[in-house]
Amino acid sequence: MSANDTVQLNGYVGFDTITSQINRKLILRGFQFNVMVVGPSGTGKSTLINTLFSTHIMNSSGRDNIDEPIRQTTEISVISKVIQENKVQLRLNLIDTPGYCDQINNDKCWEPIIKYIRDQHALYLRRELTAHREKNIPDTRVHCCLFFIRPTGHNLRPIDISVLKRLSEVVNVVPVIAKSDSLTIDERLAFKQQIREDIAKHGIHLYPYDLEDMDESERSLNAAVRNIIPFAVVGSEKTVMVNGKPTRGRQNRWGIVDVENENHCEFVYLRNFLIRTHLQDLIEMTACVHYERFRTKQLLALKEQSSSQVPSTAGTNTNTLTLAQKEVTKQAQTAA
Amino acid sequence: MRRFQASVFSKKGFKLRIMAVGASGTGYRTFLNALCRKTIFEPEIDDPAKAHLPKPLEIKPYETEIVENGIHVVLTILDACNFGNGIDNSHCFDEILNYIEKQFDNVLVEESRIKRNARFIDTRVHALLYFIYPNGHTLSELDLVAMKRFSKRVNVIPVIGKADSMNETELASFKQAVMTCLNENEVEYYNFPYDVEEDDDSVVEENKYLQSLLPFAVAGSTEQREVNGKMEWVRDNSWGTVILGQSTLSDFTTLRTVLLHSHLHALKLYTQDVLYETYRTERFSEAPVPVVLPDEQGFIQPPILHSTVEHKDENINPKTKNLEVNAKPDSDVKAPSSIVEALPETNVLTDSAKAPLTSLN
Repeated sequence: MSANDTVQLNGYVGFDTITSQINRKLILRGFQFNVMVVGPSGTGKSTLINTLFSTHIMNSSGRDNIDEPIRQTTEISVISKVIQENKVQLRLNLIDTPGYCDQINNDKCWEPIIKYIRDQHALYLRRELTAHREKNIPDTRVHCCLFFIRPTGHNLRPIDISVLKRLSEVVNVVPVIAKSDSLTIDERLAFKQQIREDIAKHGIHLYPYDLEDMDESERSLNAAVRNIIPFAVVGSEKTVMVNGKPTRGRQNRWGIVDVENENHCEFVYLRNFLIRTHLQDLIEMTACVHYERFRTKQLLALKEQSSSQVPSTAGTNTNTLTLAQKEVTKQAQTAA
Repeated sequence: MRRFQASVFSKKGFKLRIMAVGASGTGYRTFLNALCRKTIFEPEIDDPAKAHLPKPLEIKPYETEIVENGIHVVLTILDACNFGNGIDNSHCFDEILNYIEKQFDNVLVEESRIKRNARFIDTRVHALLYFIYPNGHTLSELDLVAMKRFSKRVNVIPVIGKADSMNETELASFKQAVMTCLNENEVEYYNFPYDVEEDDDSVVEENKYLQSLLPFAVAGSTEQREVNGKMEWVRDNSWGTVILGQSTLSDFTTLRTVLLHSHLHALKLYTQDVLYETYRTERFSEAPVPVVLPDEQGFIQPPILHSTVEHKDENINPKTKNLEVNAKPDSDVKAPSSIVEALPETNVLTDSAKAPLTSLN
């Protein structure tokens, strides 16, 4: 809004209540958040999710005994739960990827994951393009992907780099160092530095993104987050006593790791980042950046295809739309 | 006059060759540094630009001497670098197995000579420490297949690396899960065998105890600090300090004693008497008929071996992937000429091969 357009008011009008009107509507509707966890077996993915949301929602998908069959490929399993806090309802979709990186030959173990993400975009696009579309299209697009890195202390393995590259092109990726209590503070700092260098060298574009229309405070917040990435976390669902206060932690032979203590691990930073400051931004970025990129590509490809084909009739709206929907599904399947 | 000292009681110490196999991040190098009480493996500085490139598996030898408190061991550590670090790891096992079998082949050829080299260095691997990543669930497929294949040729001692990342209950259940997995899949790891009738009670007790400890849970450290008046290897964290040497807290000291002191000879004997002999029998019994019959010049061709063998020095060739590996020797392929040249004209195999001729056919 340019300076010439703004007018001074002579009395209180009251349109500033629009924010609370929107608020009320949104609270009634509820929010949807879709998180995917990607990482090798035993990195504490389920435990971290349960710690983040302070409740047991996800069961570990690790093989606990040898009777369970070894998974031959990455599977996708989705759990949907509703949690409520102060009248705000959040519908969570937790997408687990058991079998990722668990085989001897892990070539192309990322394909089912990329395919799932793309399928959600395709589904949303199809629903958007329907003539009679729903008032609120259910959003199953993956808003955030937590990528778990094993605390090796060396640099990223070739498979990590390969998968990170591919994932960061389709979804917001937040890298996390799992079970970081196995590293000392010095080792942790060196490891994080190493990972950051690896990520920079390979041109992996991680969340948060700086868009042009952001203001100073948002940019500085993003910069602060970038300094901490990757988050070195510890997860726990058990409660231990620290200084007489109950808190979530791990009781070890050598001491107690307090999950909420910033000196022990960066869980608090991750939680604040994911949920308290950037939750809405994650959802928005998925829609504005990743979904738009997908949509543009699909529709451009569609346009090229329909212009190269000889149109049989003048092309009514429904014809092009059904054609668009079919194209979108086909493209999504071949592109995945 | 100079006095010549008999080298019967090896002043140089007992020799032990162990191979360490583990994916990066299992902490095996740090453990080995702690085992030898000195820095053999420098911390790696990895080039970020090359992080995405697959690194081939290499077997690098490191020699060190450990002298302390009644232990005098000349230890050769064979580091299997980059095991399990690639995207496709299906070839990792072959490289290691080839190496182990090659050392057996060296001894096989040496034994077959009439005039043996007095200074022959036995390069057989006496133990393989397999480092398992503590993921808290059960053995991964890679670990299971690896240990199963290796245990046919070498004493495999399963070790859980970075054990300080788990607490007591988690460690106990993980150990149980690993052992169940190994036993159900009939993996013949080194389980401290004992004979109730022949061995002393104390030996039986000791071996039973060690069996119950398997797999050994260890952690390594690069720092020493004074704790309660003693210098200890420690890992300092903001919530506590891990002291490696305390045997109640980790199996580090036990494993160290087992390798360097109590079971050093047992491991070597088992390698010699059981593993090597099994290998030898297998090599001879799979040799095709032409090996037994003499060729036009009257030579009996020795069994087809993996590579050219020099009878002088240790020949550790890390890049074994250049060699053609034949599980079954091709009947048309003759032994490499250098083997035939190295052997004297009358081959000792002539006599021994004649006798079981009927049984082989």
